[in-house]
Amino acid sequence: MLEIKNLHAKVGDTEILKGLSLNIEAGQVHAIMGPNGAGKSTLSYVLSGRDGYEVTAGSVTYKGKDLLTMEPEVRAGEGVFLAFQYPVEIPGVSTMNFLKAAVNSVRKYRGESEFDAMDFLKFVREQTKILNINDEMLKRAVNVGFSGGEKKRAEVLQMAVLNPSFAVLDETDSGLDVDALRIVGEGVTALRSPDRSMLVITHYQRLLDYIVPDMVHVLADGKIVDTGDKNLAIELEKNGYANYAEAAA
Amino acid sequence: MSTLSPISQSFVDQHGDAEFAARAPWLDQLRQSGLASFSSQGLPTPSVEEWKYTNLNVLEKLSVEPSSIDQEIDPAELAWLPEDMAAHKLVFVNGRFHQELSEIGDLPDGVRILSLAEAMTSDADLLARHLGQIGTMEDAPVLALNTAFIDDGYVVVIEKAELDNPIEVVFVSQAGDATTHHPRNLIVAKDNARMTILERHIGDGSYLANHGFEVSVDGGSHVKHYRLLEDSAAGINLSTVKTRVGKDSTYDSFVLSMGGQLSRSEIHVACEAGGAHTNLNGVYIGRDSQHIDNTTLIDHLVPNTTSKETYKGALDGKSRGVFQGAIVVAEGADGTDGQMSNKTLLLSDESEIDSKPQLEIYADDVKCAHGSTTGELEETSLFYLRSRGIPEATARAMLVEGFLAEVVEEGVDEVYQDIFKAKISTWMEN
Repeated sequence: MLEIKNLHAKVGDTEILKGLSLNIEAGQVHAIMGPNGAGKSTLSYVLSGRDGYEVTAGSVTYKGKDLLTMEPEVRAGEGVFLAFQYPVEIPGVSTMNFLKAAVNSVRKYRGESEFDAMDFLKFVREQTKILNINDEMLKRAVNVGFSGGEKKRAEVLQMAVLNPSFAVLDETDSGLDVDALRIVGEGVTALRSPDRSMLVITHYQRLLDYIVPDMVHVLADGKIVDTGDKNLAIELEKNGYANYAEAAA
Repeated sequence: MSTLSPISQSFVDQHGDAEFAARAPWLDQLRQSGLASFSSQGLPTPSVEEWKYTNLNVLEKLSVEPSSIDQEIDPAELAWLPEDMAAHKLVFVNGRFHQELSEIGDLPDGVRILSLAEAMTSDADLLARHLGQIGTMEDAPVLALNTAFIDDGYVVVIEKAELDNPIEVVFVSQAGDATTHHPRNLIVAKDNARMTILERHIGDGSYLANHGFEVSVDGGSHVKHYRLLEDSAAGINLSTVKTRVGKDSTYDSFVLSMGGQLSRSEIHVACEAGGAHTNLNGVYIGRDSQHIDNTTLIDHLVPNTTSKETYKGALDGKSRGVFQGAIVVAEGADGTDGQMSNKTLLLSDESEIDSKPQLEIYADDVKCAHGSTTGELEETSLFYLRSRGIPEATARAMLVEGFLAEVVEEGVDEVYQDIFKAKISTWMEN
């Protein structure tokens, strides 16, 4: 599904990713853990095509195609999704209209018919129940005045309706209390499927209680420095990243 | 007396030849006072502080021949409200009431809606009582010019009544060649009256439409005055609204400025008694070399009056926007709450905004704030939408429309919001 080879990337003059390699098969969930400043968010932005993140070496191949040359909207059409650590507020645009524009854009890209308003409402309502999202929230402007939990639930809703093949969840657990964490975790787990891969970026192990990963990687100083199964995450929770910080330095 | 510029002089000369339909000694006197005031001032130049950013020398390219009404108008071109929205409709062509295109309909007791020319014969006393009550025309030469040429316009007087359906007014400037007209409009609401006016300004060719408005809202009344300025590419639209708001009364104004080579919407609101409130909202969208000016002045004259003002714009091409917003709190006007905000998105490198919010406070216990921001679209917002598959051009349009829609939602009754939102969407698509 996704193959990252020797990826180097910089922001401004600072090199953040320094030779990152990773291979994610279809249906797998990988977790990337690491200390602050290791390059976790940079990786998510490089994968989703944000301006200002310059790839200086290496490659990312997604379903056999060169992902890095695609515009962000093309990546979305191809099935790449990023759940933002800090979802962006869009004043004056209702969540419902935003979702409809997004879904119809990717459907159009994928050669599928676009939804009309009624069909779309039906389609969205199938997804909102599990995430505890009501119609009132859909009427509000995108992320404006949303609580931390609402924002993250809205991200997972977007993921559900856009039906991606590969989703990056960037610190989706940040700012969530235990109940919100459970709702979000269960929402994401419900979206697991043999055709869908996920990369879960997190600082803490707790999200991985809900989204159990197939593999866990430790990212330090722009490189993967350790790989293991879900037990690695539990170990990290116990011992912290101190050892890796030394290893990286 | 200084020498008038050729264009100012030509207005004065034209006045000498004008044949007015509406005649009465008091009205002639009012016109003469307007003429005298205009003659002593002439058209404003950028040396005057209030006109620093808007130069009327574009008028030199217009002839000042008065407008005449002789061209056919397709009623379909005037339609702008949803078909099922019943309204009391008045159409003015080149400043003159057009009977055939208008349909005022049945009115409840306490409501008069008619043209000023007609009111001169049927309701002369009422007109005499209300017209020309706006005070001095010093420092208001454009309004003085309008006053010099008072002859027609709309008159709405509502007393102890609520009007369920909106009043629809369409001003058509249909000059094949350069032409000028000066409609004078009067709105009077008293004793718990409620009404909404939806006004559309359109045109064809090159012209000057110079509107004057006198608005009086008193005795717990509420007037909603929504305007859509869609003048032709060569058209010039000037308007001066003078509003007095009395006890426990509210004047809401919303202006969507999107047409004309030059437009200036000037609104003065005086809050004259406790509980007076005004909401002034506006959206301006410009492209090419359009010049769009919104100038407002809110006078809080007595204790416990409030105002809220939000203007937002998006400017593309070489267009230029002007926002001048002043809040003046008189001595002793404690308990005043005045909030003003102006935000502009510059969509091109060559577009420009001159934003001048201004507070003058002479009282001690007041709550006033103003803010002004200018910027481009946020990169993070754009990336967020694109990461959801929305193509860049669509994403840009969504962000601009969302930015502007907030003012429409704040300033316009829900039933009318889509009328203005649709205009903004159409503009974005072109």
